[in-house]
Amino acid sequence: MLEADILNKLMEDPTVVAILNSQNGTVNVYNGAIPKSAPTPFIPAIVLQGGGTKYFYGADGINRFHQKTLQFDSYANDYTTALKVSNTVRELLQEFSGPLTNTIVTGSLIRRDMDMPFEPGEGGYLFRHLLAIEFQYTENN
Amino acid sequence: MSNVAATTYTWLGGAFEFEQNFGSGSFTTISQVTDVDESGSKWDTPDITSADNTDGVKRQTTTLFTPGTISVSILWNPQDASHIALKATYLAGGTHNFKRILPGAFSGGTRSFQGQISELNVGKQSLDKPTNATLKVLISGPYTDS
Repeated sequence: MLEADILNKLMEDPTVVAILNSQNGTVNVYNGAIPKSAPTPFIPAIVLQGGGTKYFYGADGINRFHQKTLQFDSYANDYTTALKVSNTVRELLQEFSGPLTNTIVTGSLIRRDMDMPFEPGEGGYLFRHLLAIEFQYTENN
Repeated sequence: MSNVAATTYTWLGGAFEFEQNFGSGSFTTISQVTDVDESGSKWDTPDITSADNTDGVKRQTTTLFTPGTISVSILWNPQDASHIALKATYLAGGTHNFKRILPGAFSGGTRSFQGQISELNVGKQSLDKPTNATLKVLISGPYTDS
């Protein structure tokens, strides 16, 4: 599964770990959403979501090559940190290709890189920067 | 029409096969075929109107039959064994046996014919789209549907 592979790649990257200011062995990278059980401080954080997949078929069935867009939302207490976190992800993945645990990524293309509206919360504002990358890959199985 | 499963079809489940060595009886199915386009089948119909036709309406007859051309689009994979074999067969030239099999395995759905691969082009190669190759086969001589 591409999502799991990319999540692991982010969590194992020392630059990502450093900018997320990870504490107590927790790296704030999540699939889908920041869970309510996430240990504090839970930001800065990166959340991955699937943003659409292109599948290809021949007469004999589905092609193992897929193109999937993953959305990386970078959250922080201030605008600049949210942008720095997003840029760290971009620099790591913007030209990435190679084998991962479950997939072989043959190419990565940035599709969106944009600010999102801040979100009001109990203790202030939460800033979010959106990065969407399309991965070209094949599943190992 | 009550026993007809479908009144039309898509290409999903169909097959296009070729014989690498003429007459071997061993056919290779091309993997990841996305489109098969048959065209150019026609009769020559010369005008045979004569002065005897006094009604002012032309007459034609049929003489030579052109079986036509089949174009096949393929999601090209240079590491696929069937694509490697197809490329080698094309480069070798000559006449080969082919089968075009419609999806659904019904009587009359398989067309067998001899022909020449006149073109095999790996088309436009893009940064963000899979590569499609196009194969063109000229049908040579009569074909049979079975």
